[in-house]
Amino acid sequence: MSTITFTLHTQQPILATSFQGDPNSDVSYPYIPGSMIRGALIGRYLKHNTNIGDDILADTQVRDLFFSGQVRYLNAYLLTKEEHQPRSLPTPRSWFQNKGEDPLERIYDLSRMEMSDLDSDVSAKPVKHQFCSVNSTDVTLYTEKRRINIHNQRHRSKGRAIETVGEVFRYEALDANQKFKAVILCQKKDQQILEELLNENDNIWLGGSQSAGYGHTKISKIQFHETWDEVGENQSLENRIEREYFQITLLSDMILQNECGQYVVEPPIQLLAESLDIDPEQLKLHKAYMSSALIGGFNKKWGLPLPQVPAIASGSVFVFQSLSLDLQRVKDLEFYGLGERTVEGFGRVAVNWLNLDNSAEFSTTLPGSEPSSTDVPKLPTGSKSAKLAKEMAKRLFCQKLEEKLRQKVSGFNIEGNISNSQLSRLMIIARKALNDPKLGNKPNLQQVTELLGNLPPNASDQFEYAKIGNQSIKQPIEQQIKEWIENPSGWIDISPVTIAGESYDLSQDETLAPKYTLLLIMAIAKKATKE
Amino acid sequence: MNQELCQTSIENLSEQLLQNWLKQQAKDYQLPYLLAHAEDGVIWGRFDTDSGSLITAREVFPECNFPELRLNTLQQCRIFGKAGEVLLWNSNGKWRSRLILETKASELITKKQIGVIPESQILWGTKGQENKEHSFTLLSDGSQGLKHAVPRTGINFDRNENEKQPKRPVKLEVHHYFCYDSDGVARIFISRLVSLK
Repeated sequence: MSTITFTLHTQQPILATSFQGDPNSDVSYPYIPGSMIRGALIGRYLKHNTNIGDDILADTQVRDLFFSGQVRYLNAYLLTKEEHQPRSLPTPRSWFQNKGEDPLERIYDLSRMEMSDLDSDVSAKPVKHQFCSVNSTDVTLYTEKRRINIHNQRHRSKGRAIETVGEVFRYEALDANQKFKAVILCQKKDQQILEELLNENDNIWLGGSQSAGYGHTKISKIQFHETWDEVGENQSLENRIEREYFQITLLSDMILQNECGQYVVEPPIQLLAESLDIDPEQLKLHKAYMSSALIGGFNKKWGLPLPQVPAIASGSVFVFQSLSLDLQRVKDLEFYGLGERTVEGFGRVAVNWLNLDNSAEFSTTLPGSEPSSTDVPKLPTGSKSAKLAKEMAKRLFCQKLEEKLRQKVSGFNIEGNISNSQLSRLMIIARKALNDPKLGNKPNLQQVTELLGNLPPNASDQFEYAKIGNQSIKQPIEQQIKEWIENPSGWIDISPVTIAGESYDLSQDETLAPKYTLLLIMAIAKKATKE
Repeated sequence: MNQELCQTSIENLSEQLLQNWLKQQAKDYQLPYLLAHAEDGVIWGRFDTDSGSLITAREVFPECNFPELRLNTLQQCRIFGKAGEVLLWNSNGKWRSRLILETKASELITKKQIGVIPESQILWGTKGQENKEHSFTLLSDGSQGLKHAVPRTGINFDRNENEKQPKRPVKLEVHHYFCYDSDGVARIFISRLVSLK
């Protein structure tokens, strides 16, 4: 068994149509389907073997390479920056987040914990990002970029819309300038032919509407692997198999037919049991987090759309009670997949993926954004326009800072006995500290520290015993002020402002954080004085 | 409910046996239509239910180069008519078949054990070219170049005056059978093709 991996870099939007949206729009899958990669390679193969004729299926090599199941074309998912898992994977449907948490910091895996174990202030909702990479308990979440274009149907010969032919429709395609990692599982004997097909030309056209400016993709980084694990290098099957549970996660959509040939969306217990060579009764389903999807498409060879069939959606999770498993059987299960159309990448499964250290919580990050074709291009460095954009970003950032200051002040109260004269003294010192001539009229937080350190005992007691804070947490004024002075940017959690590619944040001006911290101290003292 | 409505079996088929097996099913259960999906295309066919002979679109319209019906490339195949449907499909390398008879379905419907939802599915085809000898119509759709040939004739493609879009008059009649589970939730548990309209 060999594995070929390669990167697909979209040069134009890609239209891999799924069944979403209204009838007048084509919405793309969030990945490049394996069937599309297979179709493109069939095209290349036939171009080189013109002697095959119309009945390509009569050719043994065509059958072996593209139809028999000896070679499997997996879906190309978004490329990650993780070395151990360069291909992102569908986010498990058992992952939940706290509703409204922005930015997302924590994920709860309900396949390993109960809803009742969550803190009372956590309102669980499914994670919306469709792809992830996992490094122990650290998760990076990915979402594909999309491009929406409006098109007008045209009359073929007149070249424009007419009364009977002129519907407006919408394409929601995968945007250009994104990288996807594709995988082909093959026998060693097929490796060389597939390598030649991939190396033949960097440029490949995938998906629909290729004549309308869709589908141009570049192939790069073709690599071969003797051993390869779909869930990443540091999660070998030997480590995963010895667990207290048996969990299946679908890494692509799975098409299932029941004993009567009907397409069904239900836990694949019968098929799993057959694949693992055990009695279905042994597979006791403990939990299931699943969803359904409708699979269709267009077959170029047929010249017709494919029949639409329901499938279990990727990311579905099934947790069974633990049972002893044969390693080779599980290896085969992961290599060959389950269900129908596995040649095209359907039915990929991972056994006991994640939670190698039994943690049910993950900390999350989002990848740094890379410019896409829909982003505004950067302005020339040092140009007048760039300076203007920077100034605009700075002003907007300061507006956000002032809004943050207002929010902070309105949420804080001072409790306890502190005289108005002490508060006035604090305000006067803070105001003076805003423009310290010794520092070239820059803010000097040291002046406030000196005030607090040189207070007479009576005044010092007032600052020590009076409490400041919001409704839930309160602490002595002196302690809070010292915290702000030690870390003036600690209370300012504001995202950078970007205008035409020019961004502005706290790091651009070192006086901003001290200045607004002094303003905060003054505003709170003033608020307490009034009260 | 599947056990009561369907008869399933595993078939030991070979390339040589396939056509005879299909013809025998059509003759035994009086099923006139064939719809097969193969790696290389969609195959429509018609059985003479008395003699059991089969003619496919490939033979009626040789110029269109429709795919050949062969086990090697077959994905699944349905033989159907008002009397019932036989589905032949491949699962894990084994050929399996399933029979649904209308008499059995009607019996279960009468006993109110199951219900039926008839549905007319629109087939591609805004223009047609008839072959009266074999009663097939070659369908094409708009300017897309889609082509398939259905075992039916006498299709009216004419539009009414107030219809701007070309119409797709050919329909595939499908019956969806449903029943209620122990929680009272209705679920379609099986569907079958009935006829071409």
